[in-house]
Amino acid sequence: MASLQEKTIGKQDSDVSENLLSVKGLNVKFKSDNTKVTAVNNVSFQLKEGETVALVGESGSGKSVTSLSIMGLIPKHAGFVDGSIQLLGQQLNGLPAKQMRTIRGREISMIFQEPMTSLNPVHKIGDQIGKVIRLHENIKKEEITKRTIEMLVKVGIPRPDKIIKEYPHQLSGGMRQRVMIAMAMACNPKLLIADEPTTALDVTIQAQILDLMNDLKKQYSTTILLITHDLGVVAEIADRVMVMYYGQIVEEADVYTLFKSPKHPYTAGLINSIPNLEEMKSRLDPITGNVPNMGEITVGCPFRTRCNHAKDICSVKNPPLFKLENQTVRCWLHENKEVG
Amino acid sequence: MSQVVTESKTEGLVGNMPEAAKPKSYWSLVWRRLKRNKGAIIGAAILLFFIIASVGAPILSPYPMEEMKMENRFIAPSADHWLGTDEFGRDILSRMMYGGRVSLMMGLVAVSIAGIVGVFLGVISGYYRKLDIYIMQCMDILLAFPSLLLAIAIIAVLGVGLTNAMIAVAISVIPSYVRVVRGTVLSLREKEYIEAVKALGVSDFKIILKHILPNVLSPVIVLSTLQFGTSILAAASLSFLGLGAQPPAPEWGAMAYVGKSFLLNAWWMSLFPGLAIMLVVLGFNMLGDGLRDALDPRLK
Amino acid sequence: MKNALLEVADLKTYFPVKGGLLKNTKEYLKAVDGISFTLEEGDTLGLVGESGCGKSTTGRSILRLIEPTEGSVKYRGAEVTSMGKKELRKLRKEMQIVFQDPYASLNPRKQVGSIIEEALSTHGIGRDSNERKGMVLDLLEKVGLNATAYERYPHEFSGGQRQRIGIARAIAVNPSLIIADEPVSALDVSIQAQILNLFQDLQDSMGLTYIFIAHDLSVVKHISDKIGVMYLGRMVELASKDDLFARPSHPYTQALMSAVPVPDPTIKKERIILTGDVPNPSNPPTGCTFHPRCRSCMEICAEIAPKPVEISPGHVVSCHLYDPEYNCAT
Repeated sequence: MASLQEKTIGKQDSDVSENLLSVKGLNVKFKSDNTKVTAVNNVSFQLKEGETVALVGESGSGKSVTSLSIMGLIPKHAGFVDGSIQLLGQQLNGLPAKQMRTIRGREISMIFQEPMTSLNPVHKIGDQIGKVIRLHENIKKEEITKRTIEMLVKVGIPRPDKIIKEYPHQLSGGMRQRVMIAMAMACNPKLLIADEPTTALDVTIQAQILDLMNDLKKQYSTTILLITHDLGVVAEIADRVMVMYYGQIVEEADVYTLFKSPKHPYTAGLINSIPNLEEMKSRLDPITGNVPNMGEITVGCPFRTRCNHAKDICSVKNPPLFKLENQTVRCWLHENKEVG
Repeated sequence: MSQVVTESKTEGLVGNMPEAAKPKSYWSLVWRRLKRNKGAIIGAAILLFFIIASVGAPILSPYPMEEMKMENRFIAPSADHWLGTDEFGRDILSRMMYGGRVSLMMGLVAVSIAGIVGVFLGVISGYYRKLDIYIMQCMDILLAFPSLLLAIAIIAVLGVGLTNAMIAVAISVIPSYVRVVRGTVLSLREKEYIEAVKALGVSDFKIILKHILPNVLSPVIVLSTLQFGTSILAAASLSFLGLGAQPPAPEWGAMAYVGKSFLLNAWWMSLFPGLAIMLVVLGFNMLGDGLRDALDPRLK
Repeated sequence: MKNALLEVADLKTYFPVKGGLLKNTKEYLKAVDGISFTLEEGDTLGLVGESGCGKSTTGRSILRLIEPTEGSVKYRGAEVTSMGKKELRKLRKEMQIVFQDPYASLNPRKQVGSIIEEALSTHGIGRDSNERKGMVLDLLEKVGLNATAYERYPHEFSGGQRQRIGIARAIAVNPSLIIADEPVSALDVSIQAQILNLFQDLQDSMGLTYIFIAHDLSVVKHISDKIGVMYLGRMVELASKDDLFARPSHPYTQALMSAVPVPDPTIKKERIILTGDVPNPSNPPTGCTFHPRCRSCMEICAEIAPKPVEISPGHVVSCHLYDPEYNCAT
């Protein structure tokens, strides 16, 4: 990981210390009946150029909502986005829709879980990728076709000159996800948000796509924000991990520290509860209880209802993020171990 | 072993049920959603008004229905006769109240016949795929005719009259029921919970009765509400063409038909029955749309 | 030696594909194309494979929820494929199924109590509805749910709880065999482990036999005694769990194992990246269906479909690499 960062720093000789993306105090609330339900609660994090950061959580943890608010894709009538989102120092939230559109696709792009629903079924593959390039760059038609084919070759699509004339439904799931990646990478974005990019794919195809993402990462040093629930995928390609639970980041660490010594009981529980191909357990050690619905828990630590270490304070006060040596963790157990 | 079982038991219990003491049934949810829909409430209010007026006609009507007074012919709407009188001096309001009974009854009978036959054929067609092609081909033939034309053709065979008009309207409405029911059954057949009860060994008859029909109910209710309006309109059209209820029977379509000869000097004779038809159809459509929104599980 | 509970021999399930001008059905989608295995009482057979490999169809064909085209399924020695309606209904008491999608497998209009009770009343278990209610409450407790669940509707429960309800319905008739069709793949990670544990507890306390269908090799490895790897309607490898992981022999099994991401960043294993996609099952490749993606492909593979070869007791591989007729190297 260190070597990767060095590489990035070498490329980017100005302003080394600056973060690519900085999210501060992000709050997202949704209207539900007559109350507001908090989906993302005071989330702050930074992404450095060239790193791959995984945002891990289960359904309803707020991980996808976080990524959608970065893209400015939370509809105004449904949700309220608060806080600051900055891309290279430029404030993103609150930007007029028109300006946001020029940033989407060019500066930040996104790939989704289900490529079939994010590709337009009535347009040819070539036209769809070409449209992204045309939208952001002023170049000739032949140039665009050339670039499109180039992109398809890069994402490992065989016979790209034929594929550009085909429609999404003629491709397999894996191929469609490659096309989505080609589209997302077409304008060489600074940040790629991948929302469960391999969840809908078969294992052997998932391996192909992860391989491709690792390649692209090395080639372009694109910063990747990976949204996933699959810890296997995280271990495979992430440099740094943020674990979300009930709309909050509960733990953040580099990938080695997180898997070696998870500090939050939830992270530890997650890692312990998955069957592992490499080691044999006769019985799994699950986290008890159910994932709470949004709005169900209002005071204290939201994980306490499922936590084996819950203390009195947990039901009274939601813990802040404690900074430990290699990681930050939102848990009262680590109150006294803070560094600095 | 028992120890382990208890452990897995607690897994589910901890943080188990969110508050809410009373389980909410499907229909109570539907009712709650319907209450919030303004259109549906207005539609229901319009219908309630007409139903009360028609059912209560013997008590509420200001004049006896058949009372003719030649000196009262063609009175324009006034304090005595709110909606005026016709060519025999009969009070239009009173006649319309009684006419509402006929019109609503025609709609009810037509929709009931069509509903029962349509649901039966639709379920068979959707559940037993071998019969599907034959039933659907018959329905396609019926659908190929414009429904009013079809009704006229049926009356040509059966003869003119109120009962035959109802049957004719019912037959012309059946295909839409069959299509809706068949589509619902087809999608239900693929549902895992139907497969689950099949795997339990439940017989086809019980599956249809207990699992398919209750699910078919909501689209059928929506369709019936909408078809109720259409049927009344069709029945009135038949009467207007002189093929349904025969004068002097106080049916709205027939009243509008009679009134059209006097349209220039007694506009109220056609206008008010026409308005009544329009309002009732509108009421059914508004209620039907509201019901569809309330019953649509996608909103959940 | 345990008794064979289920013997499946050369099971085939073909679906007609409508094609041609007159829609005459001449082509078939071979969803299951000659599957054989034996399952002993109390054991768990894991069926693993990617989408379209026919693992779910295999499960449903054994239950005759889908009619198999050919082959034999013997349950305690009785031929299932030729059973009449009455016998089949009796068999339903012996074999049950748990579905993948806990949202689709419970009737949303029915209370949980009546969903489970239907299983009992169908088979005449319990004298009256009072006794049955007691049994349902016992079942709810057995799968780790509150008694208050009885009067509630499925939509009031989370995915994991719904899956518990589905399991309660399946064990209500006290079956011997449960076919679990991807029962945890729709669930959250932290809930998966709870349900897997529940399956294991029930197996121990009720002596259940499982066919556990999943696409996740780690899950299958965790719960199974015996594993069958499927690819395009065929079982390419069948072995005991220990044998399979000690000596994965079919090139597809090897690739599948290496493709599973390991939740440990310190393990960087050598990946076998398969080229290409899973072919369309309605138009499978000739010979060995895996040959276009296989890195050990030989000439013969495109021509003749490999026969199952037993490379060690109980370890069966369908690959020409292990067939002495074609490959002398082994």
